[in-house]
Amino acid sequence: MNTIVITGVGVVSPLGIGIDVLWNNLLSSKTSLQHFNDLEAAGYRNTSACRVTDFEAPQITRGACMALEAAKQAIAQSNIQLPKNTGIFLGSTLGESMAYELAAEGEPIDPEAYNTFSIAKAIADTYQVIGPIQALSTACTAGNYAVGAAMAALQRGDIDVAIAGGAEPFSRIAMVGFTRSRAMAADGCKPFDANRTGMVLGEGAAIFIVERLDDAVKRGAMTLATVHALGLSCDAYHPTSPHPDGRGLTNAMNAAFKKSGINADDIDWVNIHGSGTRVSDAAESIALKNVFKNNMPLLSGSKGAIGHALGAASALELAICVKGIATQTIPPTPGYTIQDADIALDCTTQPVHKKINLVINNASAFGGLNASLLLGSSMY
Amino acid sequence: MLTAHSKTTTMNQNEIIAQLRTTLYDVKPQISAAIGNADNFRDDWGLDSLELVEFVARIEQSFKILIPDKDLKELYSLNATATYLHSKMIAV
Amino acid sequence: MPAIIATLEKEPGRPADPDTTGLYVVSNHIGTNSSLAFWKDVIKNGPAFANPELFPWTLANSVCGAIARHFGITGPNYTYTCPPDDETCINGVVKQAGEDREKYGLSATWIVIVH
Repeated sequence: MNTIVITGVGVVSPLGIGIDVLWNNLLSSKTSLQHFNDLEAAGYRNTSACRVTDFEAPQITRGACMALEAAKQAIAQSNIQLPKNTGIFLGSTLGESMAYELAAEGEPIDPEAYNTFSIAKAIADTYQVIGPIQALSTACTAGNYAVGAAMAALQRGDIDVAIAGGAEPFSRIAMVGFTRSRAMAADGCKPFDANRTGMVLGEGAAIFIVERLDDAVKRGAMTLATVHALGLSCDAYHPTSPHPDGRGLTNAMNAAFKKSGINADDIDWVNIHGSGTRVSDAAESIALKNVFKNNMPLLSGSKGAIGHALGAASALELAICVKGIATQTIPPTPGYTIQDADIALDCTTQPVHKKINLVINNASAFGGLNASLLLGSSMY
Repeated sequence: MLTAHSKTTTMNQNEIIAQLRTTLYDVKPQISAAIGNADNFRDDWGLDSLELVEFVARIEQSFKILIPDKDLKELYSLNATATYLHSKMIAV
Repeated sequence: MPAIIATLEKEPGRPADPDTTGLYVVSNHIGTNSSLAFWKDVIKNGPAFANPELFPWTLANSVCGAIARHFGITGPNYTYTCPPDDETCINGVVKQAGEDREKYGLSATWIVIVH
């Protein structure tokens, strides 16, 4: 079976455009959470979010524009000439949410022309590639799914190169929906923290160039990380809440280990989903204890810094994992300060320099989806 | 700055409970008549988080009262919810 | 309950082993009507008073989640957004299902195309 590697990364995030800017801000425990006057003026109850304030794009194609900017960065870093059969694998929750909002407001727009597929197609059209296009609408797990799907297509030999990742422009539908569902934090996202009260909405895009190791080596590309396996499961329990016994992420992580042949004991670091809600963090902590038992890896999460970017979240966090592998550094977890008595697990509060060979990137979503992506250093 | 709409205190506890039952019917019709005034929504009748959130949203709409997240724990039964709403109604 | 569930109850019927069943939903439409209805409610009632009931159904994967809950399917669960006549997409889904059958040891894979 071909080894699959990442050779390029691009990000558009509320903490910076470009992985190095995001990374350096994350290492300093910065948060992008701020109050927004437009939300207050429109009568929103919750007026704080993590938005990309230094990125201009037409509102109705903001998602595609973010994805294209991230793709441009990834392609440049990979130094690749994209073959015609390059495949596009793009995850999002709501696609171009603004299109649906405007259509509901009476604008003559066909919202389905602006769904997740439209963002994937925009990448294909821009780079004039004719490989398969897959739009993964798997909500907050979509980024992991997209990279996993890219891996599968490469291993089958369907394509030679994949552009894969997630994109999610700021969604007013999501802002109102999560607020009225009482899922939003009063005072910032605090993953796994004793005083956590909920999530914070974000936006952004992260795109990767994914290819077979043999091909990357042949063309002299620098490999940033190895993609070992994607483990998936479904809670089949509740429309929005995870099963409280953590079975969902337990099964997803175990599936990743089974598919890769890698042992849980060898994992150095878990990037937690860590959305900051009481129930989701609690369920994830049980899953971590189920899987890692007495050999808990270091845990970090970034939603306290960049918010929850929904379909782009696991892609942005995967980019953080790739950078962490490259620098052999686990970032801090902004928002985490006090251990929760029930969770009884700590997250990083400072950058940690250590040997990192293997990382798990966890993601969970509405509908009970769970996706654990197992990533390794390029030497592992 | 959000402001709660004011409402006259023309509704007594029983009237509020009657309106709450109507609202509950839209969320979980099978329990709206049978549920006792003091019964716990979650523990006695199994309303889950989504149903409770929707119930509260409909209460906010019909009573024109904003209920902050921190007050949700007070709305655990018809009696408790009616007491809470009654206290929020401002005489004009 | 989505209408597709009644259809699936008849054919193929309840899965023999839902824990080893994979679910693959393909649609261009799921979530559209709920998104429009949800936002219309926001326009009518304001963002502070909008009803959250429809919000989970605005997501394209809402139906896949509902199918999984109804039948207890806990295997891999995918939602693809693409035009239902996009053969390349459908072929990719079929290949993914075949690979998952092998790698997860699935006893069944349900590919559901929602028009």
